[in-house]
Amino acid sequence: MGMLQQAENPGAVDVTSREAAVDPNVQGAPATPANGVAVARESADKTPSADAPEEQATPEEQAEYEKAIDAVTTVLYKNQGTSEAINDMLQPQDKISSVVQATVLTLHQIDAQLDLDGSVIPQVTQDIADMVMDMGEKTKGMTFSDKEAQAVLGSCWEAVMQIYGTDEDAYHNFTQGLDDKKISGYEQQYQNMLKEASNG
Amino acid sequence: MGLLKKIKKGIKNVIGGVKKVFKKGLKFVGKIAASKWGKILMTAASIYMGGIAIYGALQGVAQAGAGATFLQTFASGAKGALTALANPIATGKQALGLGAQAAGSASALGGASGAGAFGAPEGFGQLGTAAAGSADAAGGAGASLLATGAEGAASGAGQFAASSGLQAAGTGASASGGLLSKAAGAAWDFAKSPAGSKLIGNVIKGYGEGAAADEAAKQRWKEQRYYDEQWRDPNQLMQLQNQVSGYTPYTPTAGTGYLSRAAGYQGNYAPGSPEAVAAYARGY
Repeated sequence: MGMLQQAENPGAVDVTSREAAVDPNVQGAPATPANGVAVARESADKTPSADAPEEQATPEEQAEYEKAIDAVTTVLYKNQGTSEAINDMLQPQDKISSVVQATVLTLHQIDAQLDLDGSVIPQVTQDIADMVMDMGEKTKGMTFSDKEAQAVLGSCWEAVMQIYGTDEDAYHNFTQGLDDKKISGYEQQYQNMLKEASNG
Repeated sequence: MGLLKKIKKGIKNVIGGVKKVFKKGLKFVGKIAASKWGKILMTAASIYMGGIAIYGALQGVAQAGAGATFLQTFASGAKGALTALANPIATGKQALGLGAQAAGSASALGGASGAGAFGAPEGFGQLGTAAAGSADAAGGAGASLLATGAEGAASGAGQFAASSGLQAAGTGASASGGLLSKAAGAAWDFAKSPAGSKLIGNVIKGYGEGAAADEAAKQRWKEQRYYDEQWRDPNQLMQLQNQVSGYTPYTPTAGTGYLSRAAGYQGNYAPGSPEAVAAYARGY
């Protein structure tokens, strides 16, 4: 991983500025240990300067997303029982952790019932986290700074990755088109955003 | 590396969806939706965390002393709960219906070793705390636990969990209920959330079975209640009848209270349609 190599060459990347934290082009040491997979990715990388690509959801994915959001709004807003249950989980004295728990539980339960397509889960995760934070603000007087919101989203997404996971193929496809500098840059962003959120 | 893929075969892969762009139907715009960093953060975390898990750099990163993650840093109190949820979905669904196995899992979840076993297959969350070499052992134990239910506290998992400092997950759970509720009951403070996951699950289950059907059923009940009310008052009934010239209400064939009253008041009416009944009840 680039971070490992960064430890060997710590001066290669600007890790201190806010700009660096959000700049995918931040320069870093070569990423990913030479274990064969990295070589395969690099050989397939025809667009070394490409950023992480975005693509429009297909109509099927869009429909799946809308179905999921309908379910989310049912749980969070329309059904009094679940709305109160989620609201009860939110603890002002432990706001980030409690929002993460409520978010991930909601997502997990919705997925358990609707068997969502994996492609919609990241966006749904973001949306649920947003809505749960909003609920906490309105009902419990919680306030979330941008850094705290970063902490919530980062934690939620890591939990979701932990639950649903990934494998070599998915990771390879996701990073295809990203050269080692980009990979390293994102790793730096991760560290920077974690550091920034920690200082919040 | 091979172990991870083996464990995850058939499990949802979610990081690919980070790059998807969806049209938003809601007007709601929260802090994350309004931010520029949301997508970047998830991309960065996907690459960082995915890379670490897949390329087996876990021990190396831990040894480098750079093992902090968002989850560890900000949601350490939720780790037991989240790792309890971290069972592969396909296997978890299967486990939900297996009482003995679920009980075994719940028992395993009653202690730190169980939580470790559940969290281990992904290799996340323990970053920076695992002793070198324990991640794979714990991963194997986690897979074994999920596969057999009762084999949770394998030594590798225990060692891993102990070294990772995972929270003890509480008192365990009773033998009834599914794996998720057991895990939740063991690991979460559901006293603060009495309805908890079961309630959410039930609501969504109903939703999944057809929100439209559910709404239609509610509407039918509303109409029936209204109609029922009208039949209690002969004067109101007459008014309704007068409002609907030439209409003869439908008399359903299955017994609700108003049927007998309907028969008593208007034995000569011919059957109509349910829609007509509803319209009649509403007065048009």
